[in-house]
Amino acid sequence: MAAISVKHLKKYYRVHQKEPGLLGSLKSLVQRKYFNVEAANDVSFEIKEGELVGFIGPNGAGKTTTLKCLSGLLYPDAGEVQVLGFNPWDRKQTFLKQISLVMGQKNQLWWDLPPIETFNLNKEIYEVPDAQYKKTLDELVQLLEVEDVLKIQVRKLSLGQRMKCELIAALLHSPKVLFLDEPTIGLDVVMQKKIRDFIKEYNQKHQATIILTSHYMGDVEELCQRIMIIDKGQLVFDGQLSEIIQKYADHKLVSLILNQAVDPKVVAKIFPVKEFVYPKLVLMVKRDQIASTTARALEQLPVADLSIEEAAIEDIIRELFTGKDYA
Amino acid sequence: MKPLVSEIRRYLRLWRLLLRLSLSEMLMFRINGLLFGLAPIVWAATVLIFLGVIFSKVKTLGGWSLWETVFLLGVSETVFVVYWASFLINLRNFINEVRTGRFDQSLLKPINSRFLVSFRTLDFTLLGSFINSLAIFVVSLAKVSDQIHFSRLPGFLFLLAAAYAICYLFHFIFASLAFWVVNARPFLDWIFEIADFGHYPAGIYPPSLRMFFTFFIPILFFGYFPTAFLLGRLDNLYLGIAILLILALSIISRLVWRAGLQRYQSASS
Repeated sequence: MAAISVKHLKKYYRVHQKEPGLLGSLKSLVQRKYFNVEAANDVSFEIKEGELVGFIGPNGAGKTTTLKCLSGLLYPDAGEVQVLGFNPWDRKQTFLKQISLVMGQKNQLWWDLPPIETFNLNKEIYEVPDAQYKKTLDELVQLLEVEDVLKIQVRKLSLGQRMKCELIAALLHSPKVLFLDEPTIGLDVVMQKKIRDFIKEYNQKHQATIILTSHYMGDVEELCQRIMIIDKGQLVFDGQLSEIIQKYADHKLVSLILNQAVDPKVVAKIFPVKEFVYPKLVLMVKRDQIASTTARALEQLPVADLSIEEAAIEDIIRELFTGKDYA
Repeated sequence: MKPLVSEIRRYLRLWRLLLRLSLSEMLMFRINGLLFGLAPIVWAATVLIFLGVIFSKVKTLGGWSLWETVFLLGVSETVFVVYWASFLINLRNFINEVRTGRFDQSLLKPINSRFLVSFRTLDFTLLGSFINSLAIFVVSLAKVSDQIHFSRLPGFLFLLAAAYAICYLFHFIFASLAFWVVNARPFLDWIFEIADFGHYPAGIYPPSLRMFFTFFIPILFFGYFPTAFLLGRLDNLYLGIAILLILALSIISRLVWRAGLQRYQSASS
């Protein structure tokens, strides 16, 4: 049975538009212009137990709205959603005890108290037995290396330390389903890596079903085999990460190391140059022209070394979002 | 029956923990403790001087003597301060949480979200106001003790409890409007402003206003009715009215809350 099943989910927001300035505010007071935002429009997918799925899309695509519908925060306008066999918006306690939603930009920690106080409160709220609480807390604290900050006021912690503590607060009850909404936002690369490693380990160790949204493709590349792409409320891709490359990347990157300087203008006239910083020249070549272009480059340029690579997933996704050609 | 008892015990345990966290939170800011008492003392002095000026011109106010009126002030203010520190502060915070989307966290917890919204914190900074109003209550109690009907003490205590229930439910309905208008704070504030009318004997108001303050904006429950009952100035009918009002407000608040939850849009991340 699927841990998460979504069929034709629709969620619309009615928002009003205000022109800038005081006059705009007065106009808006008298006559408001409303329009509907289709945050989730006929979204359908299934996720198996233990899967770690990347959910990506541009800003305002509908990622967070979908996660909020799945966790029971929002009532959908139409469609069916089942998470662990529950209707999320019934908000049954047995359901809420098995899920967790971590939002990178919203916290649940008590701001003026040390994180350990929120952990203790969550223990009571989630009715975690003493022994299990101690074991889980010790394990999480050790994995995330936050022994030293447990008794320091949350407001005095760094963003990375806070995010780690947010994760602990969200995982103390060992949820079976975890919704992670941009958990690495604003973190430096070292901290991003630590959080990624932790998510991977948690997924493998607990067989937790995880949906991860992130603007950092590194998160998705490293953690998820399957990704779903949403744009303007519609799911435009659902499949393996490797399929994205096959489906959307009709180019490969041919990297050449030159052993002699050449005029970049001349090179650009005869080769499809992606970037050129001597001695490295990168060509973006259509898949069916790889052999011929490579042969031509070897013949016409002073090549010392050559390698052929797939285009970076981040570039493919960026072009996909910019070009909006999902066919 | 057993699950209900264990559920009540669970919520009481949670409430105790929330109170402890609120106190710890306040103690993080040591200077707050020093600023406790000054403002309430100024307020009490102002009101008492105001009453002194009025009673220098008249012998009774709405049929109440000076000390009866001070006693009413002591009761209503004590009740009000406790109400503010325990419920009103939470309802104000709740409105803000809906606007900012922080209410998400309350909805995600496997406990009654209404409980968490209503009991999350206790404003210990009002301790000074509480001591102040309690002092007025105790001093005036000694002055009017010969007028108190001790047989009416249970009814008085019931009406005090009813005062909390009625005002909480009433304010809760208005706070729940946050699901529709997002910033519902003004609704609570204007009710808060007119609560002062409850500090004085209801006899000074015309009958239509008394009806209004009993059924529509029930501020007279917030001190006047319990005090008048204890002093033998109110019949048992008001005990029944209190029960009916609690029932009606409970139903309305439940309906508004459920409709509001369906409408909740959170805030974007």
